Amino acid sequence: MMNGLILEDIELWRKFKRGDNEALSLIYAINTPKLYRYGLKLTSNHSIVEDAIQDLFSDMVRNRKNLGDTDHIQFYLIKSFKRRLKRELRKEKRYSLDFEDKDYSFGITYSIEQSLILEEGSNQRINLLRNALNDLTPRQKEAIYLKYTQDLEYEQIAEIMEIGIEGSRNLIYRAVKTLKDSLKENKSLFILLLHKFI
Amino acid sequence: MAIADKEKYLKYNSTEEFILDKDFYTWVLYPKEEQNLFWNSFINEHPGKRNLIREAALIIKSFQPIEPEVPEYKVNLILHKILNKEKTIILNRSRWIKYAAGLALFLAIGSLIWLAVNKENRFPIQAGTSTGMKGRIILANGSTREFDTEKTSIKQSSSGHLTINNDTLEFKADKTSSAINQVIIPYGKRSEIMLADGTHIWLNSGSQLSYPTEFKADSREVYLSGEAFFDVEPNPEKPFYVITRDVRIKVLGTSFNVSSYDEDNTCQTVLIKGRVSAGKNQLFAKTIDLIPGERITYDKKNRSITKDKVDIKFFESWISGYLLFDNEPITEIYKKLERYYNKTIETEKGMEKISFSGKLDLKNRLEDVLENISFASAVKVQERNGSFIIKK
Repeated sequence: MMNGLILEDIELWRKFKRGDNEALSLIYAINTPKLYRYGLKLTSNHSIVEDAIQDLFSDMVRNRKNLGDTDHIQFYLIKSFKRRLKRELRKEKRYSLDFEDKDYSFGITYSIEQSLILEEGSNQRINLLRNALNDLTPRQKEAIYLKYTQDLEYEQIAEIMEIGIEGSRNLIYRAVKTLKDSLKENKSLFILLLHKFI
Repeated sequence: MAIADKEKYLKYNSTEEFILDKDFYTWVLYPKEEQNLFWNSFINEHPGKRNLIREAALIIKSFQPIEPEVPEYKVNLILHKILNKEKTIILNRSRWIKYAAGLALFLAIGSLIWLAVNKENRFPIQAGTSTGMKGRIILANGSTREFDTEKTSIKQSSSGHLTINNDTLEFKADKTSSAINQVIIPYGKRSEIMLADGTHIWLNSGSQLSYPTEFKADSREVYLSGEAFFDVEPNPEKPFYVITRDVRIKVLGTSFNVSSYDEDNTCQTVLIKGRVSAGKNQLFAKTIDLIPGERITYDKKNRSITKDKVDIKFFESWISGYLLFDNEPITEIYKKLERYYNKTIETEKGMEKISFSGKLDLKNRLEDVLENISFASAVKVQERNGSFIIKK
């Protein structure tokens, strides 16, 4: 959103490719926190995340003339950042980024943990929703994060997660449905309880 | 929004459809006035959709993560490394034009980063240390001196001597430039500090100031949390910087007031005389020049800086032991008095609209000062267990 205010991505990127260092600084300043936060959900190892960011930008600077165009810098960066991070983590061997691996996890803490959204619904509803959220699969959590927090499209999520577009749609749809159903269960449970007590 | 949107949303019969709709979740996460109007009228016209919409909004909000803090100095350090790397690579190619360009970039951005990295490593002020009854100074060598005078005078000499009130301490000055003394003044107390370069600082209640025992060769940097009045000794070769959490002020010999309390929503700098420039305390921040009588205000909520004209007497009065106000919301005045007297003052809701103009003498007891405001602003004061409650 911020990029749009200052300069269209496509133009900012071209400026960077032409060697404009202000454009580089801007791209770096806007995107690094986003990459950093995403990285910390894939591994808790800060220095690996930092190395991947450094590699990514160093390569970009070195190859700036040969880079293709992009109209979505954030997406471009997240995609290549994740590739690097994966490579680094594989080297470490202690971590795995492969979805097939049972150790794969997406370390996210939802704000619902701190009841930041208590304006809505009862505590019991919040509890059920929180449990359902935490029970989502790591891939569902990641897809939801990319869509609702990083504001990316299905196609982009698919590329980042290395799945098909239909796959990314399904992932998100199933997660959303699970969450909605968790609230529905609550309703029937509530009615059930009501019957018992009356 | 268009009628087409309305028709689209009328067809939505499940929570999921709303959750997956981009316009809808964008509105939930970043509400804008225009969309508020659309959705309010949509819900009013179609109350059958109300529950779906509420449930969808709840679920969308629940996705929002608590994000880990991204350490700013690390972000700067990485950029520093990236740019350094570029320099060596270009060197290897031995294309001198590129080398020159790379070096210039390195110098321009590099020096900013260097400052920022230093700031982050050394920003020596921790929140919450202003509570407690005694003022104290934490010396560069790690030892602490306490004092409980109402108004403490601290003198730092260039030879490394430190005089607190009339008590002179001598300690071996650490020769590294990162040796920093930190003065902590609790609520209810004040301090006057003379630095080795002749700069005079009045530190207000609940404030902290950190300064190096010896300034660097090219600049003089001090760190402030809270409020202080500065009378800076001019030295064009060594600009003086006041650094707060949000704002960085560059000084070229001058007097001015900075108020940057963690609990306040704004950080304000008012220039009394001379010349300063101020900007956000971050990389690539633009700076704004001030002339005497101007104030810049940093708003922490929307992270914006604004400049306006003020009457300087309202901002320099506290160092002389009184406060002047011109149509100031009384809730803001109570905040200042709480800090100055270290007492709790509670107000009823909706009192922000009541304002006060006039002079308050801080040599008086708090009871009398509050009575003074109550009389002028038609509010009632009650005392209970040492704290005060203000009612309409």
